[in-house]
Amino acid sequence: MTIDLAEEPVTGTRVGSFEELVAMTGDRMLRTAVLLTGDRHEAEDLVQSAYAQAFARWRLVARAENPVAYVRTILTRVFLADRRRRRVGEVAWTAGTDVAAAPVDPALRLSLLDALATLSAQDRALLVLRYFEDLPYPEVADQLGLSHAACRTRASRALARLRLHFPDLADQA
Amino acid sequence: MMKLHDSLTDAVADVSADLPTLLDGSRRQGLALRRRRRVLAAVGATAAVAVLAGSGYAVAAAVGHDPHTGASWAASPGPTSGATAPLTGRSLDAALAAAVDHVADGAFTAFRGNGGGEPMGEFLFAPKAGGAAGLVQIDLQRLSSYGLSTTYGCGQPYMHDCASQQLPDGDTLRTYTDESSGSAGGYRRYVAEVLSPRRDLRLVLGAANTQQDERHAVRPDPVLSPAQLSTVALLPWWDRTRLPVEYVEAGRRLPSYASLTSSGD
Repeated sequence: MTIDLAEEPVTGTRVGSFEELVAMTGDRMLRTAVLLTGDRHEAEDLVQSAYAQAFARWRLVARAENPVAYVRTILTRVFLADRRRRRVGEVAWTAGTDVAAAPVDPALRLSLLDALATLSAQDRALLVLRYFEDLPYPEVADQLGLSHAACRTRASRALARLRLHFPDLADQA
Repeated sequence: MMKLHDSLTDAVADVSADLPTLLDGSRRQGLALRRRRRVLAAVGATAAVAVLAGSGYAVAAAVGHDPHTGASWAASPGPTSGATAPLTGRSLDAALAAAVDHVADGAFTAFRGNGGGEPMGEFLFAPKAGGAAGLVQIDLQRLSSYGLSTTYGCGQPYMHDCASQQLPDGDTLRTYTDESSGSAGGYRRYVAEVLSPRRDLRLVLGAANTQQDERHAVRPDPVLSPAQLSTVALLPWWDRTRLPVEYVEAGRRLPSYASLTSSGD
């Protein structure tokens, strides 16, 4: 699976070597991948695939304005492309409609990773990029190929879904 | 109140990457990606290469030896029976070792590979003739996924001493020297590729003058010649999903093997 990143901005020089990039960002990328996939082994494969694509196009990555963001974009797109292909374990959201959420047994306590796994891959990626990576909504929307409005709407619904499991969740989209 | 940022951070606070393994795996996968992309642009046809005849060719008994573990194994108990079994990373390594053993004397170590959608296998081969051990790799890809025509030429700038020939059975054999894919000074890799529409197979077989990090040239020339690689690449039983059952059995007995994927195959 290869991802077309021809539209990424390429200016300046920020990272000296591929080894430096991996050393600088490896832990962070793996944590992001664990949140996306919910599984350590899957996350390792995902991160390796993302770095492999960065290595394969290293001349572009090294000259990118923000190589770290570049690799994170690859990671997100590889993750979403893989999920689209597999369509496994995903909970479908009906876009554009407000479906009443099923009541959740309060005795059923999920871990945060388990709760994230109840979301669609795109919603999971949205929350991880927005609330773990602290990216602004416009950037999250761009990475996920959504309009800004749709991005906020999906975030609101995804948070509502999480709130079923974590009623004291403070965040609002 | 629960803040999502803090909770997400806490959830993965103890996660840290095995950076050397990640770096090595990424480089390896990235090099394979680079090579694969280059094929997409390959057009035209030229030159000629010696052809290995005979569809009934079988690799005879081959015995490998791992100097690190002292273990030996028979890659094949004898001529292949014709029966096949599902390919695994181990069996791919065993089959490749047996095939290499048929064309060159030497020792095999550091087996790595994976099965799955795009099987890969590799090991270090130390020729009996001397010199450091060098990397031998095989990659089995689905030809149709590249949308290639049956014309398989030598038009790429990284291909030196390239030759391509369509074979009587419809397959194409291409050999070339690649001196630009690795990051090592003096890097050299001989490659034999077989493009087989009837098997929906693109087989890429390479031998390098580096070891597995592909960063440091350890000898002047790769451990196998283009002619030796061609002989191995043209064996008729190569397939993306199944191998002669003898190699599947032999793969289970490899004295050392590391999977290139976390799934363990």
